[in-house]
Amino acid sequence: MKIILPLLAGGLLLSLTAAAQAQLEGIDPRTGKPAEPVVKPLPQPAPKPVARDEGSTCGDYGTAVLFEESPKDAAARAKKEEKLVFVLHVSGNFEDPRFT
Amino acid sequence: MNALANPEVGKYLNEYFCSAFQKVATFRIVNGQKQGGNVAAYFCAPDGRVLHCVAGPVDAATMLREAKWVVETTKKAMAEAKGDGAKFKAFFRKAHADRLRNEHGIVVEAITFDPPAEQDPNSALTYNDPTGRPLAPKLPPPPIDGPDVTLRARELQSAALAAPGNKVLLDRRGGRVALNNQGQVHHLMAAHCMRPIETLYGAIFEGILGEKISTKPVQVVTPFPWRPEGRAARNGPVRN
Repeated sequence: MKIILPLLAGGLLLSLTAAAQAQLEGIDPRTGKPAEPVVKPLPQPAPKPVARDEGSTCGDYGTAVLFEESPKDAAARAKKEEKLVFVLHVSGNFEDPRFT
Repeated sequence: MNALANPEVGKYLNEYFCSAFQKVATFRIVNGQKQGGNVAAYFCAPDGRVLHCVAGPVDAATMLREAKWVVETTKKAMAEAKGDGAKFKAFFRKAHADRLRNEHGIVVEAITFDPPAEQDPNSALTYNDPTGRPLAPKLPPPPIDGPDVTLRARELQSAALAAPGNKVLLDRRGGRVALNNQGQVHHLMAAHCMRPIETLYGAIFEGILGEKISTKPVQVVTPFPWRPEGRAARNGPVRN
């Protein structure tokens, strides 16, 4: 008994030390292979506002489209930049989504 | 508005178009509940002549497809017309007639020549609305020759006639054909594409979408004007 007890205690101590080391080094004690790193999903960055050109006097009103002050302004800008014109006709207040 | 919130749609529209919006109809609030309300998106040349229109709310994929079609067709029309405005207009009207045939199975002959206007909008004898502007003229769509003679066109028309909400029209021989909002737009545009937006918007917003054009953006209606929300309605719109 005097011999067996210290041997058991020593064995237990060794296994505890190995387990602690495995935990520190990220090794799976059952397989002995490096454990899969736990990666928390990073929070998604908020969508960046659409880049505004210099001289633009418009807003996007909660959309991804830049709106000029009036169709006349849009037409003048389109002629200058050789683009087409997109005109939205809406019921209600476009500026307030509750009334669109 | 969900289509316009899509980043891909926004990127494409910002790249090829300069955008603006106008409030053309009333948005009714009856007893605190939204009623009606609609939207029409016009793709125009820089001088305000309409190339194409999307009537009613659509998803992002549809809006992007229509915007790309306008840009690509404009490029082809410019290459074909070589600076001739009449050829450009004829190309676009034929393109609308082609889409009506391919996507809705209906044959119309694109009208490529505009007769002179019967009424001079600046004449003293022309009736004007109280704001001083001439009323939007009633635009007759081109006559429908009939459904296309392909099996696919027959399937398209069978589905369209069975779908609720589609407008049923008569062709030259009295046969029934059905069109959804976008089909009606192509039908109208086959005769009136490249007209100024001020002459077309009435036909789109009232004729196709069925909305009454008004200069009052929000109308609050309550049957109980003596209650607090009714008093607020008379003073300004109720926001809930």
